Amino acid sequence: MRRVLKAAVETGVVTRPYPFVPSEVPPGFRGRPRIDFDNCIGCGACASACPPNAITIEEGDGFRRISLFLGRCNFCARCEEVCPVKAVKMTGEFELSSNNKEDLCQILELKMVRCSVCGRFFATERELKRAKEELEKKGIRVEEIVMCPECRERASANLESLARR
Amino acid sequence: MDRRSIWIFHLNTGSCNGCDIEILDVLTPFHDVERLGAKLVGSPRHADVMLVTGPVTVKTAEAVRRAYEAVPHPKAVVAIGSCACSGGIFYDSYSTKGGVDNVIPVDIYVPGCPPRPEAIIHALAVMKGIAEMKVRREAYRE
Repeated sequence: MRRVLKAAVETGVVTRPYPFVPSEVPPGFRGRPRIDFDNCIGCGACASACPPNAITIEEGDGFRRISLFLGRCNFCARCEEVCPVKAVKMTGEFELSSNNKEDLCQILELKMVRCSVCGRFFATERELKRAKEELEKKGIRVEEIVMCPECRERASANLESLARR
Repeated sequence: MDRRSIWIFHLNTGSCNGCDIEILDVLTPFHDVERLGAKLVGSPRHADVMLVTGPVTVKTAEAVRRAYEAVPHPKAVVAIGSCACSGGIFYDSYSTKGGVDNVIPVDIYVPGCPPRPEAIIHALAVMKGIAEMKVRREAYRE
């Protein structure tokens, strides 16, 4: 009995003062993922990597819509891992309780570019800009990319057949 | 601020036990949610708040509805974890209802897989008016 009391006195109060004092998260803690609206190029890598489809991609009227719904996120950080421009980051935020599901959404809409041949929207402006930058880094000079992958395929196939003739 | 104590009933609706362990954590001396007057009770008839974990499997849906009806008014439901909020990783599974709000009305959502014990305490603090809700919808159009 005395030993127990002694141990209790020596240990003192262990209870954390949260919610009256803010709580610190340990380093490497995976809290809320956040999409950086200025850096995201809308490539959709995060959406295809996301196991519960918390990040989804839709296309319509010239915009690509990337929406992150925290209510379905399981905080695995795969999105952070696959993002080519490091636009998705796990933050230390964990106080996510809300009375409205809408508040758990993060929505980004990016402008898309039309294909110059078939006229279909095929990529976001930022995506093409980034592709151009990457190619120029490798020393490949490019004009504007304005053809969708299908049209480009067709065009190169035509060139090849012309060359064969 | 509501000075009265919140009595909690915890209901598992097919959860993986991750969130349940976090609720257990909240009640340990380390986090000690009883400071805020919260107490775990064994029957929904004694409770003010129902903490629901899990994506609500088809088999438990009826039990969830009955437990909700057994809670006396005024009552509140807190969905703990991403599964309870929207179905989580099981959102399109054939055997779940995809979230608690498809079965009973939910007052507070606590996303997390599992949420930290502090996140659950934050939800209770929000209900008691001690803390503020921090998340807001963020939207941007180029």
